[in-house]
Amino acid sequence: MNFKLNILLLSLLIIYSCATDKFVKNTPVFNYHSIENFSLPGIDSSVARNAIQLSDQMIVNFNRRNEAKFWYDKGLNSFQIADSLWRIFQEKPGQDSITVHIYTTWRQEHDTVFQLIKIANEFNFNKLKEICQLILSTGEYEVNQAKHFNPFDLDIRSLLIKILMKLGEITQDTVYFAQSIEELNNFLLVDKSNPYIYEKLAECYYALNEWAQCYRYFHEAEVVLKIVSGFKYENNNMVYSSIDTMRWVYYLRGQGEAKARLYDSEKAIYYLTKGIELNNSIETKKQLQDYIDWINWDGGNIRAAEFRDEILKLENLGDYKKARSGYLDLYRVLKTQKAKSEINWKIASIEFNCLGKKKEAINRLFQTIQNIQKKNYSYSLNTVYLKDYAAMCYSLGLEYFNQNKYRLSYIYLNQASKFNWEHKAESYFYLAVLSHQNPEETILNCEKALACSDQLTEKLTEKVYEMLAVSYRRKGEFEIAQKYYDNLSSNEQFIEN
Amino acid sequence: MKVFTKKLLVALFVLIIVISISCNTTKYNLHLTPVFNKDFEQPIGVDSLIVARSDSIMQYLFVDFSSEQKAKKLAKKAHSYLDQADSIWKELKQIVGDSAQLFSIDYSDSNTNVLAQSSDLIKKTRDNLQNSEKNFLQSIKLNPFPWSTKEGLAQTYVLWAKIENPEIYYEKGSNTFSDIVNYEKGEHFLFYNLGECYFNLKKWGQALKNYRQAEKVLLATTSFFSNNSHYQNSLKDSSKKDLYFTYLYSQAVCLARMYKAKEALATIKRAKKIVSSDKNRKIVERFEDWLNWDNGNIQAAEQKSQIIQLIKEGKYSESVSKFVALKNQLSDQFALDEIEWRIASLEFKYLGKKEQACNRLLNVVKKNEKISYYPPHLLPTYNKYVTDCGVMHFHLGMDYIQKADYKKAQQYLEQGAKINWYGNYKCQLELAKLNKHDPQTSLEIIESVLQTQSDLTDAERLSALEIKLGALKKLGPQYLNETKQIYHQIRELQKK
Repeated sequence: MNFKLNILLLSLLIIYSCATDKFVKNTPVFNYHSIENFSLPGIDSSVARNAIQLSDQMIVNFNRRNEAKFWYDKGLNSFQIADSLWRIFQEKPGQDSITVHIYTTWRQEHDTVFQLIKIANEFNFNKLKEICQLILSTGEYEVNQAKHFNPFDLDIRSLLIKILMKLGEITQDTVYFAQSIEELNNFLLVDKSNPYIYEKLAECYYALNEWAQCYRYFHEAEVVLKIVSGFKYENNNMVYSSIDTMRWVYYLRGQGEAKARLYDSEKAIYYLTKGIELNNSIETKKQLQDYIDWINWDGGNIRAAEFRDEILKLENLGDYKKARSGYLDLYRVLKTQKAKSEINWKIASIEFNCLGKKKEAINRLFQTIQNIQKKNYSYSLNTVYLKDYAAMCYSLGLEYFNQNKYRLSYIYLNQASKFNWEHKAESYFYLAVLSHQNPEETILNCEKALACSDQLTEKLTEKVYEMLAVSYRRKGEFEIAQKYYDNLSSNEQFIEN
Repeated sequence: MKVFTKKLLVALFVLIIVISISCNTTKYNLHLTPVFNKDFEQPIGVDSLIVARSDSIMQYLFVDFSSEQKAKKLAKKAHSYLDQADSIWKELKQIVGDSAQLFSIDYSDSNTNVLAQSSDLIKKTRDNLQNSEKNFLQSIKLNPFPWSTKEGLAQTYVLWAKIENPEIYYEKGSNTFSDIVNYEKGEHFLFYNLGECYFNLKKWGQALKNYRQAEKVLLATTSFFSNNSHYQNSLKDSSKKDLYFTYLYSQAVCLARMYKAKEALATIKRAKKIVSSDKNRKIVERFEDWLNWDNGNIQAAEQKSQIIQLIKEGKYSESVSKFVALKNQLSDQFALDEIEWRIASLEFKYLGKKEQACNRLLNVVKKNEKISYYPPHLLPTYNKYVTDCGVMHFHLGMDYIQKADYKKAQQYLEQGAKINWYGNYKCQLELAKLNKHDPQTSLEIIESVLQTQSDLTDAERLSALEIKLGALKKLGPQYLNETKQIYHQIRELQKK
């Protein structure tokens, strides 16, 4: 019954396309048999005529099928080469034995391309793009030839869509995606039960940033996937019997992402969470969770998250002034304290490390940390903030030390020493240096420095021993002083004046 | 009532917390709290508690850089004034000699007179010391941490004490050194200098305590580098050995001043073991003898020294009476002998009691003739008594000859000739002269002199020969040949 319905639909499609010239642009020039010469015994001539006329429009003769097969194979070969080349170079830029092997086989037929491949082997990405584009354009021509000879073959059409989408991916030219969408829509006229078609349509709309359509087709793909997977009862619950979970998750992810692009954070999180629930792969789960985190960065304020990404790009490009001003703008539109804290930390880092506004930076980060500590927010204090703050205090402390501003140096180093971070021991060391005139304070700081001695270099450790020896001597505790002098006695530089 | 009690408890609790916080802070008795520059930059982005804690402790750690630099300049200036004062003081000492040194210890009128001659130099020294003190104090006010500045101030006071008002300036010096050693306990010489200040203030106990601490610190810090090849057996290093000796010797002197003879002797024995120079060895031996005098009766030894000082001042009668009084306090035979000898000397030389003196000293000599255990190191002293005894008898004999009291002269000269001293032949010669009317006796005496004394002077020999010639002539012609020989010998000696 289904088969008959399909045949009928296909016939209608062909008739419609012939009339509108939409479906098949390259209408095949069939090798019509003479109706008059074609009659079968026992069949009414009018029936036979109608059947022949219909079959001539629906069935491609053997020769044309062969011709089409020839071009299809060529097109498939071109697609595979371009695809593998693109993938290999994307994953592992550089020469690859498989690639070389493929080209060697291919060059016999495409000598010009081979010359370009040689250039590509010199690792020029733009040249590679050109090569891939050329191969794919060749493939497009070849598949179009195949389509010309056999317009009914769905594999040919499917390959054409693949090639067009790949061209779109490589060239970033939306025309290819538009063409793909056209082809895919035609496909849908023939078969609406294939989730793959909806998936590809969604991908094309994704590429064109048409998020509503993208969502629509990912959603359709999910619905169709569920329908075609069938159902069964398990513990009195209806479950999908043979659903491809990976694909399902992919559609959920697509929907989630599309919703995110439409700034519907609630829905987006709904789909992504569902994806996590279904998925078994840790890697995918992590990806989905990362995406949810990204959406939730400012309590679902996706525009802010996007804005942040844009500023990050500026920062990565080294445009720190613009990045800082961007972060300041972003700060005003943020909803959550957590995001505000992070942006303050970002601004402070730029100010301290790149713009020389050290005091502003240290104050900003300090206020941020204090806010978090005082106001008991639901989130815990990020240790990176503390470490960065400690590092800033330490750096400023040393700067003031070199400027002979002992008081400020002491205060900042003292502050830096209060955190557990990798230069804690050094902070204590410099505090000891600053307080060298007071043996008790020197001893206190030196012993604290030695408590995290794994952070001290051999040279600094010796310096600490020296200070301890001198301080204990000044205190009149000669036995302890002796212990530290013994550590130094092998070193010439510590000989008493 | 309950509310009031509660409030009182809260107030007490707050008070306890405040006190405990202030006590927990590491503090040093620096006397002068550093003055921080109040216009300091305020730190941004730091916990206010950290700032408060840092600010509270910083006044015990350092001062701001500008104060530090100003303090350095002032200290440098002060040191230069101190150096100038010191060099003028040395110049002054050269002019006035050792009395200048004495002046610092005994502030007597005689020394004032000596110093008055160099009043200009004194004024210069004082001016430099005043400037030095002023600059050091300013420097310390700005930065009280470097102990070298305080040490400079203390040295200023020590030098000043040598010029004037030693009680005041040694007191100031000791206060300043005390301040330093309160927080700088690892430098031996600081304790020694503090000890010196106390010593000059006659605070023997405190002086001793600091000398001992100086020794302890020296020994402890010397061993710090004992594992190092450069410092192996550091005490063999002569400069450190000398320091060690000085610290021990100073302790012994302090102990002596405290009349702790046994401890002083034990300490001086330790000093004797490490003494390296001959000069120091002599000092130690002399001091040991002094300590050992009258079995360590230091008070008696001090009295003896004081009486000797009276003798130098010409107060002989007083000296004798004090020596007599001192005798009652003595227990040691040798000390008694010495005092008897000293009294005899005074009586003979200055008080005209020659016979008493001869008798007193003869008693000492006779008593000790029988003593075989006279300590070897005191033998020269005993020999001196013997000699002095002989000399006194000879001179008294001669005095009686002049007074023509030949009987008494005969007695003293005979006693002088019996004493085993180097000049007893002179007594014999004089006896021979006295007995010229008894030629046989005279001849025997002269022959004994000529046989035993080979190193007679020509005059003495001539005199002896002439006496012998006279005696031979009187004995008759049987001695003619011998008389001729003597006559020839006399002629030859006369020719010379």
